[in-house]
Amino acid sequence: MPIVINLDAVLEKHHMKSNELAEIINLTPANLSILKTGKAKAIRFSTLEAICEALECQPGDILEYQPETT
Amino acid sequence: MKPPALLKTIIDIAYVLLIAKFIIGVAIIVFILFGGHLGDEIQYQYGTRLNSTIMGVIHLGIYSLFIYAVRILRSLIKNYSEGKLYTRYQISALKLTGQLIILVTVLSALADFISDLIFNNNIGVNIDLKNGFGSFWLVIAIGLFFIYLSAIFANAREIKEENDLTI
Repeated sequence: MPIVINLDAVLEKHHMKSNELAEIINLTPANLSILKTGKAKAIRFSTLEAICEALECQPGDILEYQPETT
Repeated sequence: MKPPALLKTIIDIAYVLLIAKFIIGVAIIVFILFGGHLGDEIQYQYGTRLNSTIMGVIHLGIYSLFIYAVRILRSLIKNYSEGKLYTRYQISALKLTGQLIILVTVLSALADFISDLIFNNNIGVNIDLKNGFGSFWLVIAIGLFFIYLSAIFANAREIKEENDLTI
């Protein structure tokens, strides 16, 4: 998928674990895992806002576009 | 989402009655095949005892397909009561039920037409207007509706999957 989620990198930068973030933004660890592993089909603005607020970052820090090489 | 209890009860009763009728039909056919005699006052629908036995076997075969369709419907209703919707089983079961209903209706009409032609030397096309549209076409429409419902469920499954993967 061309949209890559760089959540792991941002979490590491803030020395935060996935479970902690999930609890802060009121998301289940399973759903956060779906997002991290790139299996998510879409992300709500409210979720993106909550992640950015918790990690004090911009959406561009988490989402990256990598065109598919054919 | 639990289906109405009345629906479940009606389907269960209908299924049991269909099975009972099928068993009686098989018993009568077997009785006749083994030389049994039903009595002089019995008039065979297709002229002779042999003709009626052959048609009886054919109709039982078609009837068994109908019983299978009702059985699938019964298990489908039971599946709905388990809470999950738009499963692959429900989608394929709805489609199969619709296909079987259409198949049974067409085969039954075909068997009647051919038997009339062969045993009674009569060619006839009956347009039944008693029920407004004719029960043949109405049942075909019901079968097609089941197939259409299956397509709707397949579409709904895709939408649900997308929704489940929206974080």
